[in-house]
Amino acid sequence: MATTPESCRIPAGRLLFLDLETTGLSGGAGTIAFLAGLGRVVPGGEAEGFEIRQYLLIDYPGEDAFLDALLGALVSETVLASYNGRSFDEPLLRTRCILNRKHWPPHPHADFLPAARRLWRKRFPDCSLGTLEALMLKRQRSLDVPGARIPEIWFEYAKRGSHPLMEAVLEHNAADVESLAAIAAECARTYANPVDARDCDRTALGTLWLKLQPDTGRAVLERAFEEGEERAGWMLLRHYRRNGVWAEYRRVLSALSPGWDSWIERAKDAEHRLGDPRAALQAARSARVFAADTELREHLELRIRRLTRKTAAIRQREDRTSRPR
Amino acid sequence: MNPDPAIRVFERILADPDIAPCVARVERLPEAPGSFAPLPPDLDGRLAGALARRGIERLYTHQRASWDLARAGRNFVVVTPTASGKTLCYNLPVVQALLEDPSARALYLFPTKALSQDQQAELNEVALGGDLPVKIATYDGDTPSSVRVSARDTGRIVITNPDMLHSGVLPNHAKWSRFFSGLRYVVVDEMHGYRGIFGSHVANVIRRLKRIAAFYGSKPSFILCSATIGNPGALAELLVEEPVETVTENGAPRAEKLVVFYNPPLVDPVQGIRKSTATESQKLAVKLLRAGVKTILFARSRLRVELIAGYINQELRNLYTDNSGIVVEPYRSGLLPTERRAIERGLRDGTVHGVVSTNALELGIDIGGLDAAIIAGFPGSFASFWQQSGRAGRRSGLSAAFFVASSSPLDQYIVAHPEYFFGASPESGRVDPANPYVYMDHVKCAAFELPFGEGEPFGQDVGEALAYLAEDGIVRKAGGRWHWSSSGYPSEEISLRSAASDNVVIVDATEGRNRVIGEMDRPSAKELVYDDAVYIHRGRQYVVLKLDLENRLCKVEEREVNYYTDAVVKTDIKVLSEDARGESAGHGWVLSDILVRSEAERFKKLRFHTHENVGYGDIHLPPEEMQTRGLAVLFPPETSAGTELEKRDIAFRAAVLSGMSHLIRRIAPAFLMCDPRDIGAAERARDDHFGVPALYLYDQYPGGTGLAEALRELLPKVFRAALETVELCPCGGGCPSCIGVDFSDGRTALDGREVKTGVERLLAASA
Repeated sequence: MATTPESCRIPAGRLLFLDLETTGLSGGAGTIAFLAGLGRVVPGGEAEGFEIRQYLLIDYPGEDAFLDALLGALVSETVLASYNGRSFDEPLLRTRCILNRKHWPPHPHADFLPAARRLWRKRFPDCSLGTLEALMLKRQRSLDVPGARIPEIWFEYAKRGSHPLMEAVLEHNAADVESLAAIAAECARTYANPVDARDCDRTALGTLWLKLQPDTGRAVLERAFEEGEERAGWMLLRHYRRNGVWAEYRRVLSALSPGWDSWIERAKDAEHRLGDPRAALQAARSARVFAADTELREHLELRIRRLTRKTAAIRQREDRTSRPR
Repeated sequence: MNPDPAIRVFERILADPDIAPCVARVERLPEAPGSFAPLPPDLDGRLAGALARRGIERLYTHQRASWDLARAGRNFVVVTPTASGKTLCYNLPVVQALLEDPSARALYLFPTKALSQDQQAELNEVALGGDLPVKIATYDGDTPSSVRVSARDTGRIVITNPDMLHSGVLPNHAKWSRFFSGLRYVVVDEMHGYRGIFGSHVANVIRRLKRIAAFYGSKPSFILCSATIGNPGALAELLVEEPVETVTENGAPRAEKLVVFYNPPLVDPVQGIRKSTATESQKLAVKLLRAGVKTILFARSRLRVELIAGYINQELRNLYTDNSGIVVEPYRSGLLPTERRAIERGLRDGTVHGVVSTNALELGIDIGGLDAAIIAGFPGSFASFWQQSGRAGRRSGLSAAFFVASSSPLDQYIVAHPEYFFGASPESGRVDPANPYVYMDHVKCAAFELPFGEGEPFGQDVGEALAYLAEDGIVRKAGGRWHWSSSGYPSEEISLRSAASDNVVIVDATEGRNRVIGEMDRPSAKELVYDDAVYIHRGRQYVVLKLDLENRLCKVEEREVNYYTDAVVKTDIKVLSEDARGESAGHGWVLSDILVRSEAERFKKLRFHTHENVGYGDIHLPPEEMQTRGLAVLFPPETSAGTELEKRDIAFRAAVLSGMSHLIRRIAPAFLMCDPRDIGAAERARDDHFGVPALYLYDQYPGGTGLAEALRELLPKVFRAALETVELCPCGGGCPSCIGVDFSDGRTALDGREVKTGVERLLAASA
């Protein structure tokens, strides 16, 4: 269930959004989860809402009951949804269950981190929940507890029975669950309406679609190319070349911005497919203007020499045929 | 069989006019026939088949005894020399058990990664013929993460090292639940290496292992293997904290071996100065290598390994410009793993003919059979000596071990008393699992792994330790159990090997190469790769551009120089608390917690070959501080030794004490069964703390490992041995072999003969 399309196609109503607060990040046997936020979309037509339930461990001895409650919430028709949960939250809960002599059942799990990375890696400095929340969802948290302080707040809370910031930790967790749901929704929306999706890495999205549904993929990539995404142009170019759609291929090729790579592509097309060595020679010479790398220059020199020979031969042939006239 | 031609080679070398005068003793260890026992009747047919393919149709008696003990479910330790087929002692019963029960698992512990890989190869290819349905997996720092999951879930035999068990496996035991549930055998090989502080750590790691196994409902049996030491059974019982049987009688045949004691010639008979072990052992090695003898040379330090390997290669180059076919490599820690593997392979397949090594190759890494071993300077323990000399020798045919004595009093004592050496009972391995530093570290790790129940012991009663940790908020008691209550991952900060867990990476920055060429622990780095130091790596010389301790980075640049560098380390001692004191007629003593500060302030530049001093440089690095256990030997005026000292002025006292310190520091290891590097010594003509002349002898590991306590009991014996050494020393006014410093060179106003006599009188009075 790790692939982007699958995660993105699950109906929101089946997702059970999970976010844990833990006593550390190492994940060894001494790290425990003390707060679990579970969010789900509550159906109701117009009045559709989002419900978050939080399970808080008040002190170590309650872990058994804490885990039982979580296991009880994992109803069979739900799919667990998380952000990096496949490598962190779920293994941690599995470990906690083993330590409490319980069984963590295999459960479908959609981790939205890989999906989000795929769609937005090129758009934002990173794809952490916090970054996407601030820059993509444009949400702002007032007075959020820094994550690094959370373990220490709980240790104090468990020891003394209260901590002035425990409330804030609960809010932090709830906000994480909400953002997770919002990111999941954004993933699904982007994925479902690839042509009109805003603000994502449309090239990546188009490439993904190209494999599943070429028409959609092409449309997305064409749109991206229109918006100036050079990579999308190259994806399209390769796609058209592979499928022998030469008109489209040349349309894209002529629209690619000038560079050594696009000029070489033009040279190849002119030489091998259009049978026009003169145009190929010109293109190769243009490519040389852009080539900085020595190896590349050497390669181009060879190409130019070969094309020069070819055009010279043609000229001779032409001269011979024209003289008797 | 015809007489082995090796005998002629060795005879020729021993008769060589360059060598013969220095040969102090040649001991012939005779060959011994093997004693055999039939294969066990219940041995699985597939195993018997695998053995038959290797030509094994019967077992040595010790292998059979091991089988019987393992089948009876007993813990046992096998004590046999190198190349006696010890791996079958555990592989047979373990694999049999795994074949009988598909849920059974076994854990193999080897002290180093290299040994693990070696064992996996042995298990896979040779021991089992490769066709048994038993998956063997190596799990260590080099295991790629893609392989780790399958190692955990499907490995039937998991090979690892104590460090990985400590920091990787135990803290994540839930991921290993299937493995731990089926754990039937734990094999601990090279047990003799688990001594001192390292052994104390390992004993605690084994406690944790047993605790986790019990959580998953298993109780593994232990099979241990050890080189010859004085107390294998006792050490094994300390490590696993259960009754352990011993199998000592060796059924393997032994080939004949020569043990040659070589005492380098006196350069100056009056001063007792001998030629250095470096040049002399290099000379021997070159002669052996040129005669076609595959040779391993053991040197005491990484620096010496590089120096000697360089000398040998130079010598071979000079003599044999057309025959540089002889390949000699240095081998030591600090080389990259790939470099080490390549050298090991070269030794096995014969492309490397000689190797100069630290004790890194003393362990059972398979490097094939070598014909000669040269031991340049006593390695500090008889066990090490025999392990090192055991590197030479194949199943049959003559081999030879050459002990090249250094000028140190211990080496000279051994050369002068071969009967002492050959008659000596091997050292005992000491561990102190209750060492407070070590113990506390592992209580933390254990609490992280599983909460401690009320009254649950951890080796001993752990309540006090937990209460102490609770004060710091590291654990907390709730619901009758002690829970880990910190966001840290304790084993990450606890290294089993030495006080410092951080390594400095050595980077070759020559012409922007920026290539990692080695690694070194921080305290060693301060004494070896300070700014402007010459660092030698596989024969290439580098000059240190910058040692950046903060970023654990040492930048070096390749540069040809004609000298090497040696740091001058200064040590300060502060007494923190006095725990016990006593006085005999000869001397007084105090056992105490002390703080040792050592600081390298300067370094010497020494010319290659002549080792003459050609200059100095300054070192600007923060000192290393260590809290440890020390024994202060005191000489108050009311003791006879004190009276002896009081007669003379302070300069004379200092000289005499320094001589005594020099002697004791080098002789005590033989009595304490430790490595000379395990103890430190410092003398004070008038000690600031005690107000009388004093000699401090202390444990070189944080918290101490019981050496100071043991030394207190052995002190009279050590004094007598030191006295005998100095009395027998032929030098006139002190020499490196006795009181260490030469007082007859006119640099001091002291008379060397008088100082030497003074040391003799002090020792006699102390004893």
